[in-house]
Amino acid sequence: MEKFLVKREKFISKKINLEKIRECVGKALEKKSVHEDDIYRMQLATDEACSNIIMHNYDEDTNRPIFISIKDLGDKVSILIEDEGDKFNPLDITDPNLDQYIEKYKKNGLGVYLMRRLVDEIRYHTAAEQGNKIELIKYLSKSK
Amino acid sequence: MGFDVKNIEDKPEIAIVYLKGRLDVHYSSEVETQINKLISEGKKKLVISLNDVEYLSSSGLRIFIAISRTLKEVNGQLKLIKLNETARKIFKIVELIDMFDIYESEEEAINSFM
Repeated sequence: MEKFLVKREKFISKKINLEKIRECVGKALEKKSVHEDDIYRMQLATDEACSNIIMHNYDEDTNRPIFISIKDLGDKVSILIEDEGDKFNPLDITDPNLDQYIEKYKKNGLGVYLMRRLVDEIRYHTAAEQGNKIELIKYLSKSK
Repeated sequence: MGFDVKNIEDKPEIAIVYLKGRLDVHYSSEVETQINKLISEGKKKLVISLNDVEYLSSSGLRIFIAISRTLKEVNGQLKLIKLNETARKIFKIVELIDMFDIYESEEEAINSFM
């Protein structure tokens, strides 16, 4: 049974709003008594996705929308993040070689790599006509 | 985001940086600028305390990678100290924990500089 914990809440693409987005995720998942470690992982993964949107999809334009929806899917939770920016599928980014990453200091790729390690599934909704829809799914540990 | 610096009287190349607060994409560039300023002032041996970092995202991790690289270029060194639970967790998740010199105390970190 699907249930919305947050339904398409709108945030403006300012870096300062990342804290509000993390709070939104935290409060929604606390309602479902999600384990604090899973809450932290989902907050961080959402932060990474939204940071990418602000920095890349919106090229630091600070007046564009980001929509967050959070769904309770029983044994898992899903966070859908929508933007209206340039098309960008983060799943196209390959994981960095960390030794080389430090040695050569490549700037990109670390955020997506981190997202992959924080959640169980990342889906990019290719059917979106404009903008991007990315969904983060986490299978839940036992409740706290 | 808090940023305090302690100098060691008889060791001018060493600076201890105490970070406090949330190290996300909003504050990371500001912190990186301040640390780069220290390096340009000759602080080539940096100790950074993460004891009071409440939140750390990839943009925060990226700073440590960038600083580490900048310091290598000037024959300097970076030591991280007092990783709290939040910081330790994220360093482990991204498997960066073995790629940095991490110590429990300032004294250990300072003594480890060659």
